[in-house]
Amino acid sequence: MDEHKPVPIWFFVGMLLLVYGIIITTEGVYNLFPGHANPDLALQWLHADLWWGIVLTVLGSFYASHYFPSRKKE
Amino acid sequence: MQDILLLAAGGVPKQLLALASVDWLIIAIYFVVVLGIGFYLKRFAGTGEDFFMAGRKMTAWVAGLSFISANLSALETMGWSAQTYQYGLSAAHSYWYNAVPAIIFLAMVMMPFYYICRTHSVPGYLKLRFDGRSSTVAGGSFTFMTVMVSGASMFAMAKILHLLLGWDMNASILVASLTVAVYVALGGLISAILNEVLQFFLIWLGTLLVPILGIIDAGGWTRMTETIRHNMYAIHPALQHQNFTCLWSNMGSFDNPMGVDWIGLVFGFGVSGFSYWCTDFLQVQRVIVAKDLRSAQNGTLIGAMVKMCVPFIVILPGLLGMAVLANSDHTPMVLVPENDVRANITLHTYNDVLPLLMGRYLGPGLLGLGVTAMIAGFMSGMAGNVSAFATVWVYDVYKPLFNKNASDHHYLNMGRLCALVGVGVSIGTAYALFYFSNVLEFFQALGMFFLIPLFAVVILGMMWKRCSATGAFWGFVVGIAASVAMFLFVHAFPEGHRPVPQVALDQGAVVSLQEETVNGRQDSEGTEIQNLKRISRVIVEKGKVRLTNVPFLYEGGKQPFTSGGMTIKNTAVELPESFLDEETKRFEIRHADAKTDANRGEPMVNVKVLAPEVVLADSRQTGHFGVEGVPVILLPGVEVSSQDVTKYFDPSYFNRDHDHLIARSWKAQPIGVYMYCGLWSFLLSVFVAVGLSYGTPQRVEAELKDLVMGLTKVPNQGPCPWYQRPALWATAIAVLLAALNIIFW
Repeated sequence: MDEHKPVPIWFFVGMLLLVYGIIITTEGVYNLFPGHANPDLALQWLHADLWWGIVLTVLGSFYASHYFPSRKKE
Repeated sequence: MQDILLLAAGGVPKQLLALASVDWLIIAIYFVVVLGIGFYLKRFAGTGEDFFMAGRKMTAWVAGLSFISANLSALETMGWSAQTYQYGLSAAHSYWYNAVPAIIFLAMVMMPFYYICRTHSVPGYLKLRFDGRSSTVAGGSFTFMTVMVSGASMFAMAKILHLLLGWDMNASILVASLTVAVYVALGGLISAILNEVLQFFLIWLGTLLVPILGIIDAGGWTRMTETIRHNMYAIHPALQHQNFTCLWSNMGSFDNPMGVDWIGLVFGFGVSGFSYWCTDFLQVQRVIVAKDLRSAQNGTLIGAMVKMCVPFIVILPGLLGMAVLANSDHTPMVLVPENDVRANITLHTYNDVLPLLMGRYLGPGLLGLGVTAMIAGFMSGMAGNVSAFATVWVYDVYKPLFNKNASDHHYLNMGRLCALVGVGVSIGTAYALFYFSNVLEFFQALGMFFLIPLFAVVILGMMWKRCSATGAFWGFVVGIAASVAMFLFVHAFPEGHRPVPQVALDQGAVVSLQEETVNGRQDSEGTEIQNLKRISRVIVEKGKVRLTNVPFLYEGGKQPFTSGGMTIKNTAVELPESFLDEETKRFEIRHADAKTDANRGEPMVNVKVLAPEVVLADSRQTGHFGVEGVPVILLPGVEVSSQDVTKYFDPSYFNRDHDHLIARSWKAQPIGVYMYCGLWSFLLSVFVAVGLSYGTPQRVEAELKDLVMGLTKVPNQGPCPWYQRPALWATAIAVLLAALNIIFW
């Protein structure tokens, strides 16, 4: 068995949210341009994809940086 | 002519949601990450204690989030949204009355016993407290139920993904189950728990936008409740005068959407909640592996706090579904139960309420995140089942019965094998459900019934030192038997149960439709709709029709309810639009859709006509529709397959003559019947266990140390900051919970 402590799960959570945040924010920016947004969506004018993508990016960045393995105290 | 009812304006599309490439990317990343975590954690699961108990070193936050994540699965999010659509805000009792008080009780009262006695499982506690008899029954039943429920959950996942996204059911089952098998077999409980934490975030962040956008769309809470009250005429016409947006104020009688009074709710639902949260090892395992007792208690309380918030992503979407979902003609969209003949053909089901809202608000990217949340939910529940199955099988069945003195390495390998076998058996169960789909309810009900007698004997064992091993064993066994007997009783039809008369048109049948225009119906704003088109007659020109319990005249004679096949020859045949079923009057009277013929004063039953995929004769295009109470004409050349069906046991339906004896009311809905079943089962278990305990020998007090209240000393865990004290958080959560119940009274 590996005697080292495993990398905290919070780091994996952060990385996954960061990647998802970047993807969804990019999609949100793309949908800002005329003709790209789906007109069938309700409340499309709120651009939920853009600000939700930013929320994921910020949250993911916090967890990924705060629990980055090299900064973890042994 | 009978009143004609159009069942759906446009029918149900072949698939509800369409994914873009960015959505697929998000789903693929999820699978790569969970598998990667499994491979990474394999190196940390080198002993039995690591594999089965995650080394007993989880922090409070990891234990608490995994505790809730394992439950946020298996139809939890979609299932309780559906229940809310069916029962209204009363469904929140599942959280604010059934769950949270039970979780607080687990943390503050039961956790010290589980933790201090160092048991590996709940059946393991029974062995320490009583003897091997009750623990073997508990272990055997638990492993059986676990894989069955896991399979049922997998089947449900595949079915939902097929209906929502058009995914192949075989592929869904294999991909999801093999992924779970790999990461649990590699990393054991630690892998299951850590992935559950990851899945917790995905479930929340993938679902949270739906209620946020929904409440904006509905115009706020007050406007939403007003719209729900208005839409009731269409959504729940039989219950339109009942209050769907309160918790307790309608519980004084049986006149509420659940059809249960406060006695059934408080005691029946309360008992089922305490049973599930305090003795289901799938849940308890997540927190007894914390690094110390205080972390185990705080982890459980974190779970209670999160659980208190879950209604926001589960109950609120169900309410929003009643307020914002509308057809293209702006009338309220009506959803039906899964066992309704129109389900998934002409109408969406209750289970579709959350996906329908996702399709309404979530675009590319966000939709991928939402679907990932659903998949994560199913996988976390399945991983929970599989890891609990492996632990209970190895420690409570295999080790005591088959191989007592093997090495730790042997048990570790057995655990890995069990994870694979558990998934394999679950896959088998899932495929069995392809042919017996209504068994889903059967397994869910049995799972609940098994846990209630278990809770009865566990709580007696913890609280009452006089409780004997023989009393506990027979209390447990009698409780299980009573639960099963009540389940069989409420679904049994000694005089026969006849399914709704139905005409189903096979794929490719060629039909022409006659329509009529009607006025007077209202949309969701209360505005009258003019010139609404409705089907008034169906003419089948070619193809095959399947009749179930439909009598018709053919070649001069009435052939009621006969089974067999024939081809219409020289003259067209007109099927009845509705009729008086002389043989089954009693069934007709109770059938929700039965109409009363004003002239005769007799109950009439309408014939339903379902066409999932037919060719429309005038346009030669494919279409689908459903109507009831309209004439169907079969032209010469049409093939007919007729069957007469009478069932004597049907888990999808309740026998009202029987269930009112259990639930104390003719108005009880399924959830109300199960609440009372649970209550009677619990009382019977306690009665038998207490009665027999007075006549059988008890264990001496020295043997009960650390197992029974009064003989268990909670060790001093040293000083801690005020914010880490479990009693403080338990009190705060209880106060907040009381406030929520009062606000939504």
